[in-house]
Amino acid sequence: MTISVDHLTKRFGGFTALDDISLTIPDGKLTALLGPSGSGKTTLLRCIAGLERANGGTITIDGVVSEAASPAERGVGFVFQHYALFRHMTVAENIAFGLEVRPKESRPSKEAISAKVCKLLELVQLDWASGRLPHQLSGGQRQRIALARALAVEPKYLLLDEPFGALDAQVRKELRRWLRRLHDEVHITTILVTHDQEEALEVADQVVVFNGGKVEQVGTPEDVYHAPATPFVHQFLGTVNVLSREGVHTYVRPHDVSLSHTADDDHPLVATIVAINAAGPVVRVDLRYADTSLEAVIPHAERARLELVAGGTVHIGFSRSAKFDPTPDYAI
Amino acid sequence: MNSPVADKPHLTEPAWVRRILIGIVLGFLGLFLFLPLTVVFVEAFRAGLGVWWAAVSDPVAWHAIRLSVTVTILCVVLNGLFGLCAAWAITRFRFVGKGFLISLIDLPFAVSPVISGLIFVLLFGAQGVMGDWLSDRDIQIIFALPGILLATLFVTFPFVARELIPLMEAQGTEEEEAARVLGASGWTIFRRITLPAIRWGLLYGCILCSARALGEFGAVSVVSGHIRGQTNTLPLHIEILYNEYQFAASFACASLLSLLALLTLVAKRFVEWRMNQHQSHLKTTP
Ligand SMILES: Nc1ncnc2c1ncn2[C@@H]1O[C@H](COP(=O)(O)OP(=O)(O)OP(=O)(O)O)[C@@H](O)[C@H]1O
Ligand SMILES: [Mg+2]
Repeated sequence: MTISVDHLTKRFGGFTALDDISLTIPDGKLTALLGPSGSGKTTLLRCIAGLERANGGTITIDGVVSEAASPAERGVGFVFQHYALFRHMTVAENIAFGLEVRPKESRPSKEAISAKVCKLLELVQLDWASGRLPHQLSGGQRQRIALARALAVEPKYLLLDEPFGALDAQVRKELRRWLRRLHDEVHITTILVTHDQEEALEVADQVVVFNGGKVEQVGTPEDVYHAPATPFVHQFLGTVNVLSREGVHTYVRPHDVSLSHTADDDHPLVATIVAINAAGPVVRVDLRYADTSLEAVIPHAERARLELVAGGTVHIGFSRSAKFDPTPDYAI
Repeated sequence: MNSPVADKPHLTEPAWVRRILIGIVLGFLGLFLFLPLTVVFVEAFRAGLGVWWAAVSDPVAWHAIRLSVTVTILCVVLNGLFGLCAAWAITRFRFVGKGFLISLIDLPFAVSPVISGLIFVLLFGAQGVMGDWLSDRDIQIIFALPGILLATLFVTFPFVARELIPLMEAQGTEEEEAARVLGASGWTIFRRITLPAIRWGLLYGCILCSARALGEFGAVSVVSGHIRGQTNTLPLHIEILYNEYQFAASFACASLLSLLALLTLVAKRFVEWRMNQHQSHLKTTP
């Protein structure tokens, strides 16, 4: 019960949207496809769903190469970036659609369908909305209806294309926690597309970082955050300091910069304190080392202990860093 | 319908300018639209209802009416289907020569109706490209119903397609794709997803198409051959009557045609109103 993508390539005219992608989606897990806008996330999702035909490579679903399988035969449920609810149908009709269009032999009875619709509406906490039209609902509510509609046909895989993309920050947060709980309940293998790293790191079991039609890294949220495999991943997931010395780029996250009064093996460098910003849960210290601006993040207690002041100097070291050969600049 | 501009006095012209402009428009409309229409009806009934009825129920006139209505119905059905296919192909598929096809759809509007008729004479007439082939098989196209239908079809082709293309473009393909992933067949998707969204636009295109088909003169005149009681449509019949100085009969038939035109106008208004309602409801749904 897995999806595996093998050397998949997709071109639009002369433009390569997916460049030799290979991936395995683990069973029962929530995988996030994370990447900047235009990196090919939607395209990959559409290829898996059978809405787009690849130019090369294969997609294997449950051990079957699904070259010619129609979207419905693949057993996937798809939630579109912009909901794509049927605007002239009520919420209940939307959810029932996938069951109603089944051939007579496999179609559930009318009662069974409406019972199922009720159950799903309860699941997405919108039982009061069954008679409404989509345009009478808020964005977050529409999104949940789209999810219920996809779940109605009991897909083996759930593909979500930026399900919370069009919502404001507060609603996003609520919905993604809700989605995580839902996933823990139903355990359906899910692929979630997002360009929001916070979202990916918070809800996913596995994160696939995408850039320019290529996979940069696959790993657990902790892996990709703490051990980025490429400069791109480093820069895309959170803030990073880049020091270049003797043709080598060193990448350090702000919270991996440690400060000290005295020079020792862990704090070999001397930096000037440019500014201190203590408004927030942690203290942000802007530093200047040689020609490079650095950012350090330390706890309030640490700042008090070190008695840091703007304009002074401090010894710094990196508790964790990554070195990469110089690479062309990445546009984020 | 109040536009926001009209509510702001400082944005509108002085009252006298407005009055003059409105006066000019009303005068123009009265002179060029209302007056002729009134004349048609006054002339039609000048000699009394009996004469009007005699002219309309005359067997030759009756045949012309039937022919016009037949051609119009066939034309609306066929062009409804063709227009739907064309709009579907253009908005749902990617293929080479799409831009060319889009400009080709407008061709019937660009060429003179007389030329539209001539094209078919040159193709299917006795001296035409396919003339010998057709006469060998005893198939009559020019100077017969098929020719009239073809010419009318050609002239009225753009109405439905023009109406549907922007509508279907705006609708996008996401809902159809969503239905496909949910397992709906192509026909089900069309019937339950696509059609409900475009039905008023389709009807609107069909009304425009029928109005034009009913009144088409130039193209039909070239291919019909003006055979009385056989290939004369209502507009052609009216012209013949007029040329023969049968003014009362001519105006009687003209009044009938005008009445049909007014009816389509009412139908058009109704559909426009429904479409506006539909549209404003679509707009609120992204
Ligand atoms: N139908 C298409 N025709 C031509 N180019 C396309 C088509 N669909 C996508 N592309 C191109 O492929 C690239 C990847 O697109 P895709 O929609 O997969 O990006 P994405 O990662 O989902 O971005 P976003 O986060 O903005 O949704 C883009 O550069 C886009 O311009
Ligand atoms: Mg996308």
